[in-house]
Amino acid sequence: MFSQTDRCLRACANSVGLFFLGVLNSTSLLAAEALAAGDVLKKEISPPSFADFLFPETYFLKIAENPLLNLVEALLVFVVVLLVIYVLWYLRKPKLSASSGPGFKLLNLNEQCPFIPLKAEVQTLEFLAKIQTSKKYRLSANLNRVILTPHQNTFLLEDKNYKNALLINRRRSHRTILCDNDVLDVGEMILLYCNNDVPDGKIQHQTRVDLQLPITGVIPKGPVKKGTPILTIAGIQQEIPLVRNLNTLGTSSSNDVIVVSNEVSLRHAKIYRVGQSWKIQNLLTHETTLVNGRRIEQRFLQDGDEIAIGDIFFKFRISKAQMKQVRKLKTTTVKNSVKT
Amino acid sequence: MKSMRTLYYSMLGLLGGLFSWALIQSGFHVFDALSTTGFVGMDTAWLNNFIYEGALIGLGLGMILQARASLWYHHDLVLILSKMFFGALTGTIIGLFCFGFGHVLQTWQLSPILSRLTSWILLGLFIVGTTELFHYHSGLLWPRIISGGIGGVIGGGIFELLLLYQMSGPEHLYGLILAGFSIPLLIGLKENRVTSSALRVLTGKQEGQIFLLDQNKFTLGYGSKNDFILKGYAEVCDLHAHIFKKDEQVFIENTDAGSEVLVNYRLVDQQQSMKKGDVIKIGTALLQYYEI
Repeated sequence: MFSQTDRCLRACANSVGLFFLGVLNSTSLLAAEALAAGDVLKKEISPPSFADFLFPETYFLKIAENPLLNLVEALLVFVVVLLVIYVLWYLRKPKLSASSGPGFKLLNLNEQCPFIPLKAEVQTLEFLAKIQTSKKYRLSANLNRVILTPHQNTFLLEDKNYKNALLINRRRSHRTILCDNDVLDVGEMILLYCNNDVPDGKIQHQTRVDLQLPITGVIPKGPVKKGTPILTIAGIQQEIPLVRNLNTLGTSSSNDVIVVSNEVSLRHAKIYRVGQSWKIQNLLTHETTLVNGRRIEQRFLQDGDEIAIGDIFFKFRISKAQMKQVRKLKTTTVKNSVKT
Repeated sequence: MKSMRTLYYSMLGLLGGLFSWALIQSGFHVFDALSTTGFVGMDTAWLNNFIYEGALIGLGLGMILQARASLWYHHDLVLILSKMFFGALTGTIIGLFCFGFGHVLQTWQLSPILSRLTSWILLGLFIVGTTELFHYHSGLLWPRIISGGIGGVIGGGIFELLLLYQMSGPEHLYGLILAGFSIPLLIGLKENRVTSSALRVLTGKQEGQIFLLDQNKFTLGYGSKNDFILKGYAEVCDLHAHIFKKDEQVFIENTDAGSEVLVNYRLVDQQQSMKKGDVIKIGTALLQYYEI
């Protein structure tokens, strides 16, 4: 029993102490000898040497007893394995499509992303119905009314029939200049427009307002009702109706109101509806938003307040009159009633 | 794609086994040379001791297991080498420990087969466990570790059987290769079961790459600590977005005020669940979410 625990202890010391052997060679040797000296029973059988203590004669795997390879061969296997790993890594390199010129890529699942080159002769999107796909996709029957016209190395897409389920960058659009990496939803098909020659941003969007103005981008459209706030930029007679309940202001193109200025950050402030009133909130701690000359974090807006974001000044007012769009609707209904 | 990846991982494990076998073989010669030159305390007893072999097996397998995801996603060579180095280091320590424990059991007069199997199981558990330490947010810690352990059982079992029947030729080679093969295979099978969706990169330098969503949480960004690395894109932050699974749904969330994540070209405010076919825009990179 005692010898068994002794052997166990020795093995423990063996397994734990081995790792630190290189560093603590002398100390572990001393400790080992002290341990061995304390064991009287063992001493009687055989005086243990240091090597015996650390390496009992129980072979575990016996792998190295009879090596199959000599050193050079082993090193060769070693290098070959590393090379194979390198090849496996290299094989996983993403393959870049070397296609040039405008074209579409099919993004639907299980499609092999074949590149569909777009020739300059193509006038409509009708050709999509003829593409060989693994699955039949439902497409609108009026695709011949979606007109493609060449425009500055790329294409201008016009939807003459508003009933086509056509989304560009997941938004409804009737007239768009296609840019590189635009996503088109045509019926059930998802297409990616590729144009390696003309990278995104090189084409000036027609829909954009003159870039000289501090406010660019698509100004949100919608019915301007009574109570809809309107931002007017100081100096320029440009009116921005805030038709959404939450409007963000900043330089990033994902904002509702895109402000071009060096003093304005990506998402600078937001103006949102709280009940019947409107509130402005500064979104960044290190940027300032001023209302009537005072730095604020958030504040309810009154009609006629002056808002300063960076170096751009706005006048906030709440529209009192119904705008033309609504009036137009009214006239059409009147006409309809006359007809009937 | 899923089974492709499992096969890839298993192939890597196989290579790891081969690697450790070559290490053991060359290690013998190195020690032999050292003992003939009369290095103090060096004799053949050193290499006949199992623990070194355990260390070398741990080195090979740990190196491969740590770097497997990086190899699959074609990360930078420097990153892979650093991961391999770290995996080899931890694997060596674990191998020493596990096979040392097996030896303890053997001195306790447990049958050699059982003690060897125990050390294999421990090796599988611990090696996978340490690789998981760096993905502590994955939410798949225990299933993976357990599958690593089962892989260890299978590998070790095959190893033992081969030893038992005294296979002619390099039986240790077969045993090691099969052990290396089975551990990643088991982990891969476990991962496949939970993978139901993926992100595909649509544009830019990593076009066509598919990120399989096999964990519960992911980080996405430019930095090398992320699960999914987007390199070569403008306006991608170091840690750009979190992706996580909650109630069978996958959510995406931007990390701080500086990063913008757009799902279907709409800015994600807090977090946003994703549907099949959604297009995610991160900086200039375009990704598509789909279900497998």
